[in-house]
This record gives sequence, C-alpha cells and structure tokens, in this order.
Amino acid sequence: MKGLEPAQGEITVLLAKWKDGEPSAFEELMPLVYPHLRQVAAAYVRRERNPDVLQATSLVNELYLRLLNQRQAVGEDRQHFYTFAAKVMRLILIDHARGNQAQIRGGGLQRVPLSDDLAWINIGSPELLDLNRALDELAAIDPYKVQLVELRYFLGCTSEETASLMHISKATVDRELKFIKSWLYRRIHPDGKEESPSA
Amino acid sequence: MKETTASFLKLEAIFHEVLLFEETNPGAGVGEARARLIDELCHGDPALITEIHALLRASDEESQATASHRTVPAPGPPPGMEERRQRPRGETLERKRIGAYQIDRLLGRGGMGAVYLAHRADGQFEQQVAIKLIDLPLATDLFRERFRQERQILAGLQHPFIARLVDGGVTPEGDLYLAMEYIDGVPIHRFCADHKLTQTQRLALFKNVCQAVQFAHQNLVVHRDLKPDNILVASDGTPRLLDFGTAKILSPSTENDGKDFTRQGFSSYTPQYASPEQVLGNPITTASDTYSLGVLLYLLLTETMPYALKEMSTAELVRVICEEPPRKPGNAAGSDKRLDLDLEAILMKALRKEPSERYLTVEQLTTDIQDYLDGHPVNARRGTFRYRAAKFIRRNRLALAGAGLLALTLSAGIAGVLWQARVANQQRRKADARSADLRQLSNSLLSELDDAIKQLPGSTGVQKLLVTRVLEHLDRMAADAQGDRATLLDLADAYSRLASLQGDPYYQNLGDPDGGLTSESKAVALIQPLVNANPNDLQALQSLATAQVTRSEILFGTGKTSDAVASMQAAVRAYDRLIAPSSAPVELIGEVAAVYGSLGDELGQSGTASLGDKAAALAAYRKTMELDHRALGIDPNFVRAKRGLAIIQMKIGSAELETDPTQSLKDFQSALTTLDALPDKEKSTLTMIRLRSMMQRKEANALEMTGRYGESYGLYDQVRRAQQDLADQDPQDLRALSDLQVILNDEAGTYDDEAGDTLAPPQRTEKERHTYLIHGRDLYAQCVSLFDRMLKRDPTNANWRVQQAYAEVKVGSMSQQLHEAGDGASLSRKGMATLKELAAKPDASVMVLDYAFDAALIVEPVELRDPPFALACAEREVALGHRQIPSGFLALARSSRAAGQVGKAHAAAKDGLALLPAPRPGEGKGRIQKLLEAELRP
Repeated sequence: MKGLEPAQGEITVLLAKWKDGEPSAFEELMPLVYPHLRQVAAAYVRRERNPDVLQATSLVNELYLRLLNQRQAVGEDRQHFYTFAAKVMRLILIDHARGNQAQIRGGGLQRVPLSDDLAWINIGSPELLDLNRALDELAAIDPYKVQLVELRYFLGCTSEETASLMHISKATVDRELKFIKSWLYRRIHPDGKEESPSA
Repeated sequence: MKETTASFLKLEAIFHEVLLFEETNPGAGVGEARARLIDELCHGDPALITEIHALLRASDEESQATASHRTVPAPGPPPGMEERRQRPRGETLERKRIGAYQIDRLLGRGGMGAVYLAHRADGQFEQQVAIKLIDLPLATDLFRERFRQERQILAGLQHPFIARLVDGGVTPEGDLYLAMEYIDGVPIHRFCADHKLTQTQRLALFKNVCQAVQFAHQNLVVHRDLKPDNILVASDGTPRLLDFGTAKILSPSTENDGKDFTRQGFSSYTPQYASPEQVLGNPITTASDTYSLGVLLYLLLTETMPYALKEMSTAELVRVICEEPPRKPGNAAGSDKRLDLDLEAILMKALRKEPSERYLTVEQLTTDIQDYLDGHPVNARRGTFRYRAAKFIRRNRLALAGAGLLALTLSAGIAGVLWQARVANQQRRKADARSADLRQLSNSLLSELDDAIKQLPGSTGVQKLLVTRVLEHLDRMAADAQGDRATLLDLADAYSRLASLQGDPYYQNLGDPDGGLTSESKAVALIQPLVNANPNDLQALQSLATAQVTRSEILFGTGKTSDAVASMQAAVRAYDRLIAPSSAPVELIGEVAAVYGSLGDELGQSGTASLGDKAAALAAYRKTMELDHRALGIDPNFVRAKRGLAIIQMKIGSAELETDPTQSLKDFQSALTTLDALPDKEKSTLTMIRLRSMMQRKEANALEMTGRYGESYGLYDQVRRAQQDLADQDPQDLRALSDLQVILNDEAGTYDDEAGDTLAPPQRTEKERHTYLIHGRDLYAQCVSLFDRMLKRDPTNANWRVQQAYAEVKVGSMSQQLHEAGDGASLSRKGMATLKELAAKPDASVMVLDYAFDAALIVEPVELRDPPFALACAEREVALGHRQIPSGFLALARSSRAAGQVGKAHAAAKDGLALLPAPRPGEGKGRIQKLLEAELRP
C-alpha cells in the first residue's frame, strides 16, 4: 500500500542508522525521497535555475519537513538528511548522464553547468561521469571531501549553507573546495588540457 | 599512481601553503620564490614537486575553465582586497620592521601565517625573538580569533619550559603578530638521538615536558598538538613547549560555541599524535594531551611510533587509532632492546583509547615515571591488570558461561574444577583490581581538588568538570558492579565523597545540594541491601553511617531540619554500635565525636535553622567532648581530636551565649587557645583559617552580649576583612560568601543595638546614634546584595531567604529613621511580605519565627507593624524551644507588650530571666538580661 506518509520519527531513525553505516537504511530511505528529488533534478536539467524561482536547498528543506510531518527541522537530523539527499542527487544526475550517453551521444543538448563554481562540468555530459569516477577515488582517500562536493555541487547548496551543515566556516569550505576542484581537474585532465567542451 | 591519505594530506597542506604565499606576495618575480618554497616544502622529493606543480597548473586551468563557462558573472573581489593589494611592492617582509623588531629571516610558514627570526631594532638590548605574523589578506575571522586566543593563552602561561610571549600587537598594515622567545633548539626526539641520551636522561627530560603541560592544564589550557616539532630542546638540555595555535581554553560549559577549531579536518592536529577522541571529533579534554604525551614517550623510549600510520586511508587511520592496540613496545620494529614492563605499563596507560582509562592528570603520569626512576611500583600496572581482566571478561563472557555449564556436566572432572577456579579467580581479581582503581580515583579526586582549591583561585569551574567526569565514571561502574560487596562499598564511599563536594555546606562545595542528595541516595541504595542482608556487616554499617551524615548535613544546609535530624540520629545509632568495643580505632572515635557535634548543631545551634532544643544540643556536645577525650586517652597526639575539642568548646560557648554570655566568652577564648596550640601545618588549611575566623566572630558576639561593644567592633572588623579576602579569592565559593554574610549580619546587629534605646552605651550622643544607624544600614544593605548572589546559585534556600527578607526590612526601616530619600518603605514592605510568607509555613524554624516577630515589631513605616502576628510567632517560638530559650521569652514579652498585654509581657520576661544564671560578682549584665529586665517596666 503506497501513499501513506512515513510515521513521524521513522525518517530520523533511518537517517541515524544510515549515518551509522547501515546500508539497508539507505535502501529504505530511497523510495521516500527519490521521486521528490527527481523533480528537483529535472528542474536542474531543464535549466530552470533562476535562483529566485528554484532553490534546490529550499525544496529539499520543504521535502524534509513534509517527511517529518512538519516537525521543526534542526540540528543533526537536518545535516544527515542533507548529506543523504546530496548523495541521492548525485545518483540521479549520474543515472541521467548515463541515459544521455546511451540515447543521444553527441547530440546538440544545451550546455547546463552543474554549478557556477564548477562550470566546466555540464549536466548530462561525459565529464560528469568522469567526475563521478574521480569522486569514487577521492572517497577512498577522504570521504569527507566527497560530502562537501556532493552538498555544494550536486545538491546546489551555497558555500554558506554547506558551511553551516558541516559545522565549519565558509572560508574553510571555499579553501577545501579550491583544492578539491584542482585535484579533480587534474584527475579528469591528466594531460593538462581541457577536452573540447562539446563533442 | 595510487594516492594514500598521508601523501594526499601532505599534498593538500603544501598546496594551501603555496596559495597563501602567492596571495601574500603578489606581483612579478614571485615565480622563482614560489619554486624555491615548493622545493623546500617538499624536502626535495622530485615526485612530490612534480605533482604540486601539476596541481597548481590544474588549479589555474580549472579557474579559467570555470570562468569561461560561467553563466553568471563572477563576484568581485571582497571589499578591502583592493586596498591591501596596493601595498608598496618593492618592500619585502624580510626587510620590514614589526613593532620594535627588525626581521632577519623567514623561519617557516605555518598554517596561519609566517614565522620570522627578528631582533630588537631599537638597540635597547640584544634579544632574538621569533615573530609569528598573520599576513594573509584573506585571513578569516576564524584565523584572527584563533590568533588572539593564542596570545591570550600565552600571556597567561609563564613557565620556564613554555616559550615565553615577549610582545604582541598589530602592525601598521593591520596584521596581527606575536613576538615569542626564540628557542635555538632542536625537536626533542632529535635532541635525544643526537646526544645519545640514556633512558634515565630521556625520562628526566620527558618529566620536564610533563611539568609544562601540567602547568598549562592547571591554567585550563589544553595544547591539543603536542609533538616533537612543538617541543624544542635548547643546547643546555631544557625543553620548551611551543605553538599554542591549536590550544583551547577549557570552560565549564563544554559545548561547542562555533569557535571550536577541533572539527576542522586534519589540518588542526597531527594524526600520528592525535588521540581517538581527536580523530573522531569528540570533545577534547586534558586527557587528549596525556595521550599525545604517551605517543611522545613511546617515541623517545623506543625510537618508533606506536602505530604504523604511513600508507593508510582516512577511514583506516581512524580505525587504527580508535581500535587497534599500540604495538608492543618490546617488539617495536628496529628496536633490539626490550622495554621494562613497568615502562610498558606506563605507556599503555597513557595510550588507552578511553580518555577515562588514561592517567587522570599529567601529574599522575609524572608521578609514575618518578616512581619508576625511584624503583617504586608504578600505578599503571595495577590499572593494566584491571583493564585486561575486565576486557577478558567482557570478551569471553559467553565463552565463560558456556564453560561453567560444561564444568557442571563434567561434575568432578578435573577440567571442570579448573574452569570454575579460573572463572571465580577472574571475578575476584576483577573486583580487587577495581577497588584499587576506585581508591585511586577517590584519592586523586581529593588531591586534585585540594590542589585546585589551593592553586587556582576561582577553581569552582574545574571542580564542576571533575565532578561530572567522576559521576559518569561511577555510574558506569555501578551499573557493572553485579552485587560484589567490596566494589559496592567502594562505590558507595565514592558517591558519598562526591555528594559532599557537590553540596555539603560543612565543606568547600559546589553549591549543588540537589546533585549532592542524588549522589547520596545512590550511595544509600547500594549499601542498604548489604546492611539488611547482614546487620553485623560493620564495614557496610560504617559506609551507611557516613552516607547518612553527609545526607543530613546537606539537608540541614537547605533548611530541611527535621529530615536532617532524623538522618543524623540514624547515623549516630550506627556509629554507637561501631565504637562500642573498647578496641575501636582512634580515628573512628574522632569521627563519631564530630558526628555528635553535627547532631548538636542541628538540634539546637543558635543563629541557624536548628530545632532550637538547647538542652538536647548541649547533651550531644558533651558526648563529643567525652569521645574526643577518649580518643586523646588512646593517642595524646591525635590532631583531629584536639581540633574537635576546640570546635566543641566553641559550640558549647554558642549554646550558652544567651543564657550565660560571660561563661560563653570564656568558652570561646579557650577554644581559640586550643586551636592555636595545634601544629602550624594543621592551622594553615583553609578550613582552619575559616574556623579561627568563626571563633573570633563568636568571641565578638560574646563581647557584645556582655556589653563590651568597644572591644567587639575591633574584632568584627578584623574578622570581616579576613572573610572578605577569602570571598574575593573565589567569587564562586558559596561558603566563603555565606561566612562573609554572617559576619556582616552580626556586625550590623551590633550597630543596631547601639542605635536602639535599651542597649545604648552610656552617654550616647544623638550624633553617635546617627552614625550607628548609618553603619548598620550599610552593613545590612551589603547583606541584601550578598544574599542576592547566593540565592542566584541556590534559589530554594529558605534560610537565606528569611535572612535576606529581614535585612531588607532593616535597610528599609533604618533609612526611614535617617529620613533618607529613596524608597525605604517599599523595601520594608517587600521584606515583611516574604517573612510573613515563610513564617506561615507549619514547619517554620525558630530562626524564621524570631526574624519574623522582630521585624513585625520594629518595621518602619509604622503601619506595617503587626503585633498580633508577632505574638503568634513568639508563642510558637517558645513552644518549639521547649520553653528553654531566653530569647524566645524575650520575643513573647516584647510582642505581648506591643499587643497591649502588659501582664503577659511581665510573666514572659520573668520566665526568661529565670533561665539565666544568677549574676556573678564583678560581672556586668548580659544583653538578653538587660533586654528582659527592660520588659519588666510597667
């Protein structure tokens, strides 16, 4: 039976379990969140990214509140939810990019940057898949940095929002990302040149 | 190339360093300097150098790529940047002056800025300093805040083994700098290796480092980044602790305030020296430094690290630090010598994963090392065994249970017997070891607190931290005690000690009576079943009695007198059984003597919320004297009994103060003589200083009661100064505040008497009366504000509320008598309302009733006076005091007269006078006698 809102507290329990490394919790959370996040992602892809109209983070917040039955979203729970949502968002966008490669390789899609701060990676592009692979490598070395990337670039949080979610300063977020971006760029372009932006 | 966490971290660190360098040195010609810096930072490692250059290129290309694809214009430079960039370019920092210092050369770049070698440029005197400068145009507020904190920390840390702060300030460009003592030394492990120090020499050097760390801890500073690079040893062999850049000031509120730098990834500390709680981002305490010292000692003794952390991912690193035991030092790679077992135990104790399992203080670590050097047994080994035994049991609980079953089925089989013996033995040893650990905990708790009290004014914050920590520890152990008698007893005693610290007004305490009562009920809950099971278990009985005494004292302090007396009487019954045999130890007799003294206080001490039963109180006090004499009969040098005698003489004097002030004055004077005859060492403790002060105050009371006002003023003044000093030393110390309040109150009362009519000194002028009123009013006003501070700490204390209300009535009324402007009347009204509320309670004490009746008769404005209410209070007071308290009859006489019942007043006055001894020749009349006689007037 579908259509029932999750019981209050269920989400928080699942999030805590997920944070404690219980993989089944991730599976259970997914169906609750996935359809809504897909809508956010679709808006991304269609480039409805006028910041006044659509802000990913406020949509996610609304989603979260709805899942919690309007309980005040604060503290740890919120952080867990956001890092979770960012991870799901990465999955959605990567799935979308894979589908794209299969369907319309080289098609004349409009270029939509993943983020203005990482503008050389476009949504639905092969670089996004490269980025995904590089992030998997990074996760083996420093998973914390991957979380930053997911929040900031996949979920579309601002530096300030990322900083407040991770309990660090904005300056630290920017500094860390500066390094991560350079490292990722080097991973994706080992010969030092950017590949041709459009195929 | 497979990247590892270690090389990744290195890469990241160097990357940031280079970017910082570029930002601080904009302009042409930077390229070469940058290349030099990279070579230096990479220690010439060619692969790393190539990687860094490639990464920096990638960084530039990434910025360009993003800029060219960006759909939104990039934000402009942050405000203030332009201005900073326009600094004169030709001038490099190397030639700059900072404050009074001339920069000589760059020593290195660190996380927040650069460190330069410099010397004083004003020719005043030769001094080389290391200047640490934040010169990053983009330095965040967080960096600046951290820098300020480092300066603040260093300014407070003056120790021969901590690099001194010489100067600090802001350059004309607005950059922050610190000038530090320049240490021309090498990292401690290099020093040991270069000079081929012996193990003993290494331990001695390490002890010096511990001293510096311990000193920082005493000042509530945790270093958080202790490692060889931060501990330089000068050529003369003295170590210096450097770099408090990541240090933290502990505060009693340990929650993060957003300025906590611990959760900043690996940049804030060095993983190899970091404790498990540090890598997990958990709260950092002094125990984290203890851990890092453990790693350092490991390195100094074995020349290897406790963990091989080189080629690991972050997750792996965290797992190893948090879960894996350190390598056995004896088997450490590259080490052919076996480490002594004692030293190994010391290392393992410092390196425990659980902070609470480590040495509680660095001082304890130092003590163990000294014990090792002296050939004494070290504490760590007991702990090791307990730890291992507990671990073994925890790991093998199931296996052991299974084994027990197996043993049963094998009935008489040898294997079964062996198994059972092993299980029982483990259990017993576990319990023994735990007791040892507990005793160690209790002892260290007390010594640590003693030190804190003596060395740190305002130490209450430290104590609070400590209490929280100990309570957690005890609760954990209690949950685990499983009916083991010895452990239960030890735990109960520990809870009692803790309760006393939390809220026993007889000792320096934290002003948390509720917390104290909770701890105490935990103690009772642990012992009561033991006593019930075996009423002849004398040890359990004694623990129970101890717990009941503390409980009673806390209750008494909060004004719950009847409960307090019941608890104390239960304790006395238990103690009487314990000291019945003539072989009872002298210490126990001394303790019971003191308990009788406390019982006497609760029964009938004047000036407190006692039951007001003078006769019963005196009987208890006499029992104290008897027991103290019995103890001194066994051991004439037993200091506690001597001190006890002094105290009890004082108490008897207090009980006799009203009925026989002349005798009472003699009691106080002999109490002081007894006290002064104690050994000097005994007299210098805070408790004894306080006690002596109290005796002098009592002496002043007695002088006042015999009408010798002139002498009493001088004494009051002296005592008040002493009390004020004590209260100033630790503004958090409730007991010091309350002592100060008592003396202020007494002194105010004296002026009040002199300003009144009956007790006025002969030939008092109107001007003198005016002066007395002003003094009295001022002192009462000070009482009111002191009570405000005290009640903020414990708003439920009924004793303080009643005294404050009375003082308010006094201030209000006296200022009206002085015809002062201001709202004296409303203050009087407020105080009167509180007094009536408190007196209306059915269990109001003699003290409450006495304050209430007096206020109702003397209050100004006159319309607030309420003789029928006063009369009702006085009647209850006389009844509560078993018709034995002269001041009760004085209350009755005064209220009866005010209510128009002169006959009743005369009768009450006569009853009161009958309680007083016949005047001895040559002695003046006492205060109460004068006042009672005054009530005989028509």
